[in-house]
Amino acid sequence: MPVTPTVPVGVVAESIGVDARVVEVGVDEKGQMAVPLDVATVGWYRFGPGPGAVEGSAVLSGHVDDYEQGRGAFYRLAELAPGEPVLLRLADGAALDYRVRTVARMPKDELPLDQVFARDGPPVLTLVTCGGAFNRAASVYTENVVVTAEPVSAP
Amino acid sequence: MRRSTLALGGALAVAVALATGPAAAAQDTGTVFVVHGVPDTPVDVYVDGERALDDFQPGTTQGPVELPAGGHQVALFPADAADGSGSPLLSAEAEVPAGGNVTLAAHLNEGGSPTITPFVNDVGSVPAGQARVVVRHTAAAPAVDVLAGGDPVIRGLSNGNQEALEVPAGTIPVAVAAAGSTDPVIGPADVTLEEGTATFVHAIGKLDGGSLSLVSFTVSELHSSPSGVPSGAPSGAPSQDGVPAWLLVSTVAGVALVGVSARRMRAAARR
Repeated sequence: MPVTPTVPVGVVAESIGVDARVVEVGVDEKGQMAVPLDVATVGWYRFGPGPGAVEGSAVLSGHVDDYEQGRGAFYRLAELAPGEPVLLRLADGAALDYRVRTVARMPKDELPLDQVFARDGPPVLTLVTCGGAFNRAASVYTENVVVTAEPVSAP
Repeated sequence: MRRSTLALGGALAVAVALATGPAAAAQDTGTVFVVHGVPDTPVDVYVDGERALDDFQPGTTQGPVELPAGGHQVALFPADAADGSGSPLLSAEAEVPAGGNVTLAAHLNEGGSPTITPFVNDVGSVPAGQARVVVRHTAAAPAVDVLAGGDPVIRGLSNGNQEALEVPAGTIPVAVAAAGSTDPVIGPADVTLEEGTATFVHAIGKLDGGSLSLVSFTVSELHSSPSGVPSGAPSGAPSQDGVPAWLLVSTVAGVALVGVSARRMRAAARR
């Protein structure tokens, strides 16, 4: 995919101490969204809408934490509160301002995939990480944390 | 699903509007693409006696259009013919299934005679991150193999047949070779397959004389969502901190402690 002005390269959420690099990701071998192995780095789902698109959900995902690497970029994601600001840095040097609308936790099998990855509807930024208990047998967390944020019009 | 934005001939659009009327329900119609693969022969296309396409050029495609479901008489006349009377160059009875999606391809058979072949277009959803490519042999040539990056991915495709692949979206070098060979008769050429699309590629022309080429169209918005977001603990175990306590509201402290020690053992065992 060619680099366009809507490709995000950084995400900032000051209220939870996030200032992370963003890279483009696709899908893994299971057809799930690929998430960067480096837990300090956040992935943007490059097949979906980009930030600034007139419709659809731009999806960023980062690991919550890891035994070997420690806390991930989105370790405190669920501490975000509605109304708090999120900023995306774009490849062309511009930035986009968002404001948190919803913060939710849900079992992974209840993640509304078609809503998270919507390609139409109002423009939204969706931040996803893991949460809940860790299922040691399956080596996965049992829940997803999902934050949605709306674009703030330029002043 | 939204269809691709291929330019639609004005004449065809008018003919379809006349044929269907504005109130035709979607389930009473089918979607049709047309491909012209007969070399050196511009044609006018008549559907049920009405001229639907004027001066349809070889090596091009038109569509999508919605036609009333059912049988239609399709006839091709030389592009300079005054009307649809007399003997057509080619004609066929085409069945358009309700809610279906088909291609009508005018092309050469293996022996080089013009013919019309209907193909069903697979426009089902494509897995996340993937693209579908459908290859159709519509050229005066023996069976072929299709090579991606030099390796055969479709073998022994013969005239009048199609084969579909789902591949990771991206740009791949594609070539067509005689079956059993890797010596290209078309390409190699880079083909870009966008995620969530289906591209229908038609090999047309004649092997003898070297007029083989490709004509294709793409149907977009067939994407699927990824099946999940696995955003925890890439090494297979969480950090020693565990997730913040408030993320474990249903877990009592004692269980959490046992959990942490078990995670440490697991992580140690991996090394």
